[in-house]
Amino acid sequence: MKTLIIAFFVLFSVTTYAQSPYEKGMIQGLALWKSGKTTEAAAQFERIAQAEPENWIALYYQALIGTTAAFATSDQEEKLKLIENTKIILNNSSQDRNSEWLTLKAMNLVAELTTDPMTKSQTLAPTIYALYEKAIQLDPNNPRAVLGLAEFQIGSKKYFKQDTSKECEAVKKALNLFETHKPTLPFAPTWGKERAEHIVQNCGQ
Amino acid sequence: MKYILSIILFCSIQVSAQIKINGKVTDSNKKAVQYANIFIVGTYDGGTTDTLGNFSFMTYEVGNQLLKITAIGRESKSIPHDLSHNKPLQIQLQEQAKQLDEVVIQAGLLQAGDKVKNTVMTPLDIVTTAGSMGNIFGALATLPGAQVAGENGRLMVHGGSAAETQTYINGIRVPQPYTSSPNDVPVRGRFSPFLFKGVNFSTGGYSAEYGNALSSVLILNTANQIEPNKTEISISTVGAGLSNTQDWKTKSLTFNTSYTNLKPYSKIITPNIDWTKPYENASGELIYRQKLKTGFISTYAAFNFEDMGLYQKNSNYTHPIAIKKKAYNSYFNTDYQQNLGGRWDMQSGIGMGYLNEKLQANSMGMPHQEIAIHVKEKFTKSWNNRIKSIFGIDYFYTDFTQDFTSPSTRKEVSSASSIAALYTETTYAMNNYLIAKLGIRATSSTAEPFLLEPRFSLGYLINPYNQLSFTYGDFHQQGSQEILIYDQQIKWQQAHHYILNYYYEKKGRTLRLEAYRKTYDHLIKYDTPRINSSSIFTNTGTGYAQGMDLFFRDNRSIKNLQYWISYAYTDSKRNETDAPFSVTPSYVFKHTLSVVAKYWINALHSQVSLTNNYLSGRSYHDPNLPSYTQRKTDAYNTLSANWSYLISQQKIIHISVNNLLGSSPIYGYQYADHPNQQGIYNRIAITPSAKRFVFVGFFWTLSSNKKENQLDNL
Repeated sequence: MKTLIIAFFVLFSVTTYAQSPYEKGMIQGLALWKSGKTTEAAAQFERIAQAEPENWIALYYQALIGTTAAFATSDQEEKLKLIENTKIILNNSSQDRNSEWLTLKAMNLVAELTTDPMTKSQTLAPTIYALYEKAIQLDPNNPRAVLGLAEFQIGSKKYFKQDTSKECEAVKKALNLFETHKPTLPFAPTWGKERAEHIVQNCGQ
Repeated sequence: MKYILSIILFCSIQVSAQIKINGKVTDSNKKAVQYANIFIVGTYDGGTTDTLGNFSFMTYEVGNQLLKITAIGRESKSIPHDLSHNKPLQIQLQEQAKQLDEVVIQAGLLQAGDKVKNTVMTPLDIVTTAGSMGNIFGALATLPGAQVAGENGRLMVHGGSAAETQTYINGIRVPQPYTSSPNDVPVRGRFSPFLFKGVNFSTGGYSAEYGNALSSVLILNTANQIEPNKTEISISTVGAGLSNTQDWKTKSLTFNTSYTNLKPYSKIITPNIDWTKPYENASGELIYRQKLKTGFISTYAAFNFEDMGLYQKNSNYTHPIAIKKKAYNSYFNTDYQQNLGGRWDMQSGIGMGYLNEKLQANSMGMPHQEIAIHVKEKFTKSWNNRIKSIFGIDYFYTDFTQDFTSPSTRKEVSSASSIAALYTETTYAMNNYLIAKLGIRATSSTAEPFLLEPRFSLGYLINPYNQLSFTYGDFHQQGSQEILIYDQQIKWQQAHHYILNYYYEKKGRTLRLEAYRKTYDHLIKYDTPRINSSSIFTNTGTGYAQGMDLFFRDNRSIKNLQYWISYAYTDSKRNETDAPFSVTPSYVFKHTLSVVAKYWINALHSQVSLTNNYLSGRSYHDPNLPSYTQRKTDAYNTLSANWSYLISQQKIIHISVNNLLGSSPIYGYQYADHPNQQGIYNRIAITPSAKRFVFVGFFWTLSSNKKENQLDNL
């Protein structure tokens, strides 16, 4: 998951030009995250989100930090706390038609599933699939949704030593989408290309 | 001019210089809170606390502002602050108040569910516990306080008989939860265990929401969620099954059919039973779920047909008796939950059960029929995060008919009863450590115009991992149907429960200790060795049961290994039924010990599970000896194994063997009613119907999403 965070930054290149407080705040938040100050970064995004209630992007980053931190931590209780907190953020906002939002919701549930796959895949897996499928349906060109679904499927297929070529194709498709998919809003998520490249490299191995 | 203006403007910006806001955030114990977020509401200005709880940030804002402080796992706080007062702030941030639903008083409760906390087993455990064979009651028997007798299969709790436990689905009573079986062959639960996402098993002192059970209630809950599309196929050594779910986003419909026939199996492995018609069971289930805007409807309908025939040995007869048994059972349960707004919730439900069991012993027929209805209306109000109340009303109607037929005669006896009950219960979290529950249930029936049952429990959280709790309750139960058909006016039996519980749960380890005492009053006695139309019934029986349980579960110490150990000590004496004085009832095991282990072998994609049950001997009455209930059977031990192999996500093979070592326990003896010519009462030992039982099953799930598998389905 660390690669995910790194991948995010490699791709995230925002040039500093005439800055509004929002832009300044966002850049500052992203810089904090890049320097490893995740809690400070999440706090920064939380502040921006409450100051800009109409804009979902800061809240998205606050949640994304929570989910990635949950993946990174090995302490089970801490992990669940982070997942729970992120879930509250994600459920509190009515972004049901936002492909990025649903993708993140699915990712957060994947984090939850990993805490006890034997018990939880039963109830969570169908919801995760449904969220990814809805996210792709809303924006078939969202590379993160395509990537997320494929990666989730690869995980279980590899375990059973099943053919993952279909999923690898999906990741390759996502890789192309990273080139063509241009965000409509400034600071909208663009992360994931590095991760997709990494998966494609390991495909067929 | 413009130039001057801009200078003034410029200066004014310079004048309103940034000011620094600093301070410290602590918790209620004056300990520093790290990573708290402090900011001025509506602005970008804020900071984060360091390891010492200190924060500082700069702002251009002036005057009275609202400061907000947030931290993960703590209650957020907003405080008005005048920025001109440049003093360090002292802020206290409380730990998040526990939601009432999260705090569970552990005394008298065992939960199985998919929640992380407060559960002793998961729904998956029920099907993967060796020896359970996918039977809910089989898995519960490995929990402390629960006992299942081998010849009976029914659940007995804390020294109570099998009749003292009631079963509920979504809060609605299931009148006939067990399958039919010949005498001395264990029954199973009728419903498939994978339907339930949560199981609340009471070991006593249960909520005022439930009644008419002296010992325990078993509450099975289905999930309030729409099921995705899927088809499941299963083929096993004893039958086949097919199930299909259709999902229409806010609605889903599942049908499930299964067919069991022991004929092919009994041809290969000869049982101790002399079947004339090996057990056959055809069943169908229909589950409809609908999500409403602020509510949920779930409907469950089941139909079950059973047919069997065998020769059964009986010490009263020289030749075995030809037994034929046919049973038709249907059950319908619908449950409507609605949020009414203003923190009010409503639940309306109705359950109807119908059983028609035709029993034929040689030329004698003993068919019986039961119709049972439960109507329920319950309101829940959350006054705030700390106080929650329930108010409800129940109505039960039962009609039972027993026939006795012979080629020349026919006699019918029947009973009908109506029971109405009102209840209320309030849970109050005084603070984060102390929680109290006070309930009362009033019941009215023809035999008992007015019964009042107070229930009380108290939980004390020593710290987040340790809980001490106590519960007390009064409970009553109607006499059994076989008594009611002769005496409808017999008073209800009575029990008082006192339970003390210690519960520890931390990171995959659970320890649970429970001590209890139950006193019984008004137990039903009769003056004939067996119940018949000439029996005279009185409520003069008394008794007690006391003991302690130990449960330890560890999922953490060894990777991929989960195990639990449960031990129960039960001391009970009762003067009931036809007993001349107080004795230990024949259904009580003094010591029970279960060890369950499940090991996941990654390389084999398999879960291997072992269950070992030890049950100490039970008392029985030998009419050849003076006095009463003087003897004891030997203790016995059974070891069962289960192997689940995941071929792929969709395909699973289960192999289960019960009683792996082939021990031959004797559950008890059936004595002749009269002595033989030598003056001796003959007896027949009651033993298991088969030495071992082997189950091999193949389960296949077809669904649009590939992750679903049938590990939850046996």
